[in-house]
Amino acid sequence: MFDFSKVQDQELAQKVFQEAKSFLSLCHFGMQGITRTEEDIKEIVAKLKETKMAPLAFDTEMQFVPMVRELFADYCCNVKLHCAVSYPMGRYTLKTKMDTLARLREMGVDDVCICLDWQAIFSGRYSDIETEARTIVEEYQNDFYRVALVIPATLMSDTRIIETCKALDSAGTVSVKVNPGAKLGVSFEEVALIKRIFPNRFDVHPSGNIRTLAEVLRYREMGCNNIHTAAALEITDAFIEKRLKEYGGI
Amino acid sequence: MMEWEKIAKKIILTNVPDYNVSDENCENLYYKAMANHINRVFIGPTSAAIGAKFQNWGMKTAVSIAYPSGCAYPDLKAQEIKNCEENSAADMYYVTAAVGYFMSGHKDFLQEEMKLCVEAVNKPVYFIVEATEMSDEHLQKLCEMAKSERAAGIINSTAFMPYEIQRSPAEDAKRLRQYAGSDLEIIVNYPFESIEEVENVIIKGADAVIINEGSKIVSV
Repeated sequence: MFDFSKVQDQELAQKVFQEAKSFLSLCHFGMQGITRTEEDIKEIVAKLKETKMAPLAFDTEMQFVPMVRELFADYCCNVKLHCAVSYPMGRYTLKTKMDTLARLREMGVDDVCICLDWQAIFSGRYSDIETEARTIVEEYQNDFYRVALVIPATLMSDTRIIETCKALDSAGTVSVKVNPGAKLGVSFEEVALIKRIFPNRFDVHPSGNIRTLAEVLRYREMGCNNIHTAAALEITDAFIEKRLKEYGGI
Repeated sequence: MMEWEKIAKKIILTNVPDYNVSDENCENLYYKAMANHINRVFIGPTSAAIGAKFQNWGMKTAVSIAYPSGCAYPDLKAQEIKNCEENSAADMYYVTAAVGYFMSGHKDFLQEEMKLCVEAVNKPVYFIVEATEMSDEHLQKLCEMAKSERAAGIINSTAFMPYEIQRSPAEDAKRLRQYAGSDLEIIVNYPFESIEEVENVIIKGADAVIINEGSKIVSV
């Protein structure tokens, strides 16, 4: 993480630190996956704590939630916890998704994303997608900071993206996560398509294959304020260096 | 080389690790299995309605639980099995175990998971791990627990390729067989591309192998 003590002008350092804090607060950060252990999670939490900043949310798996909460208990910033449901292919039945969301709500998890039934999407069963989205949204929309529904946009035609978003629109969906990550990366075109066809309608969360500051800044210009990138800390460092250069601090 | 008919009896055809699965793809999975004399398929819970159509076609269907991360509490996995039972398409369940949590020292958590999942249904329940990432000590404990909780078997891997983890199918078969003895079925899941690879894991101790429907081994 960038060492602010190296900046001669500490007033400027403080200003850039605050801007970086605000920048990171629009990105998710964390660790998920089948073989992740408590040690892996502790390591990444320690790395985040060195920054003295908070991401938009810390992504973790359900069984690690109590430990992660404890690890952040003495931290200077409030860190929201995020869990993904039926990730990444949406293969759980709707009933299982609802059971899992109920448990996450009970556990006090702050933020969630749920992969929709991709088989329904790829089969063009848009009324099933609408039913699934409506069921989730009606029950949980107000219980979490964000309830984002995940679509595999990269694998979908423009028509399929539009039809799926129409179903989500009818269902009252607020947040749409465009791709899950896990090797399915978002593109500017996918986000632009949704923004163009449904102006000011969805809170769009780009996800996957976002690796550079330029990409994050472009998604922000497109109106996205909830960005999923595995490189959140590295990109925040790049942001800090860019700002310091602009202000003449380096 | 083993005859295809003999190998086919040890093959389970799947689309579970694939992203792009539609109803039509799922139906074709069954047809492809039949065309290749394979009588077992492995599908996800959202494919169960398609699986139900093939129930009386002499095919056995395994349904995935908590795939691919295995990160859910034991009672939620057991509940997922019960939810899947509502359409009764499954002949057996393949449950992804909470591998990372187990490797963090939470043996009891996995034991509870096995107990609740096996008790949830009167059908064979298997547990999927990532054997290559696990030590011999982990595999030994895993097999002991699986035996004591009356699991039907162990599957070595999710074969979910976006996970950047090590996979050594033949070595997994050998190590798992060593600890399972003859009490557990050992199934090896891997993106196999040749019959020689399949034969090798069978020789090393696998009772069956899971092959992706996209593999050139099943050419029909």
